[in-house]
Amino acid sequence: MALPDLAHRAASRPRVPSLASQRRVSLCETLDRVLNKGAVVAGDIVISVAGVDLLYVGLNLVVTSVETMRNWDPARPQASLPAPPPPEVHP
Amino acid sequence: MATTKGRYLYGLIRTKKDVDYGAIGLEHDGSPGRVYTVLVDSLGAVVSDFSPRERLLPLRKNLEPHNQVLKEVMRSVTVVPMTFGHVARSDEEIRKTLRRHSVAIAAQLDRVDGAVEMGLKVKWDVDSIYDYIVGVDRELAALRDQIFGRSSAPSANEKMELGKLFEDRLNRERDTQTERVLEMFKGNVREAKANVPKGEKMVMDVAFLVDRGAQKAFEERIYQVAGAFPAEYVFDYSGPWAPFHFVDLDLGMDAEN
Repeated sequence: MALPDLAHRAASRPRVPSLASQRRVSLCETLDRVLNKGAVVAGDIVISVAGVDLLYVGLNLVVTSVETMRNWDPARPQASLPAPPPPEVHP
Repeated sequence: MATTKGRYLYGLIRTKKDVDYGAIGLEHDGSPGRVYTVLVDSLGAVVSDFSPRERLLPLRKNLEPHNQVLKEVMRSVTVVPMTFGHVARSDEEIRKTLRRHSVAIAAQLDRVDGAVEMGLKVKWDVDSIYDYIVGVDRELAALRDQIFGRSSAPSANEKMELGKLFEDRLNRERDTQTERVLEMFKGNVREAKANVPKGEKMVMDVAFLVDRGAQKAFEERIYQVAGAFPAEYVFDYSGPWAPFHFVDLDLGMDAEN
């Protein structure tokens, strides 16, 4: 399931990197995508860690990260608050 | 046995019945979590049990399952991937969120329907990026010769001027080559998205949205395109990925407008 087509790639033309470097690349690529892209829940706070935007948002869903725990402020209302029912307003 | 109502979210799919993906999820209670769906109408959130109180760090052992689950889900259906790190407090919370954003979610599912994401990074395989760019730009070469070709040492201002011109030409070269590559892939992809290149030797970092059925043709096209470039251009592709770059969805409280 993981890393399909590696054998095919490794056997192909010289300007395509080796199997081992493909594996390393794949990890970086995973990081780039999984941490930076995709659907999110209300990014009212975006924190950048080493150039990677991590999200922390309260209300409905919780997003945790190294940085948010470092910055954890127990005095501030946070995600552990129960979400108030959203106003059902449709324009 | 400890139970939690908390759910870690991997992605969103269209489904009318529950799907069980097996124990391939993030670790919970000491073993890989069972991945399954929380349904509302014809939408499903792909989840595994995870306590909102549990620490969730962006470590490889957590990030890999997130990606692997999405890969597994993608084998049978189109998925809108969530960014790493979303934990809902209950199924009801998930249902509420999906209901509230069902139109936006459907639009994103349509956008990426039947497609996968492929990544392409192109690098300059050269010893010195400075020498390389000077080699392709006459004006830059002339300025360098003018500044460094005299007996007196160049001033700080002159060096800055040269540095600025270098950066300008480096970016111009990237833009030119990226445009050229995107043009060459036009017939093979549904959408393309160029990220800002990281690292001085990176020419481009592009994500493509490719029809699942056109994946093989796309990979063949990479070799054709690479063949049209000089030897110092290294083409490196990855995928298939969940369409991370091609979802634009914020499930926050105020995002429904």
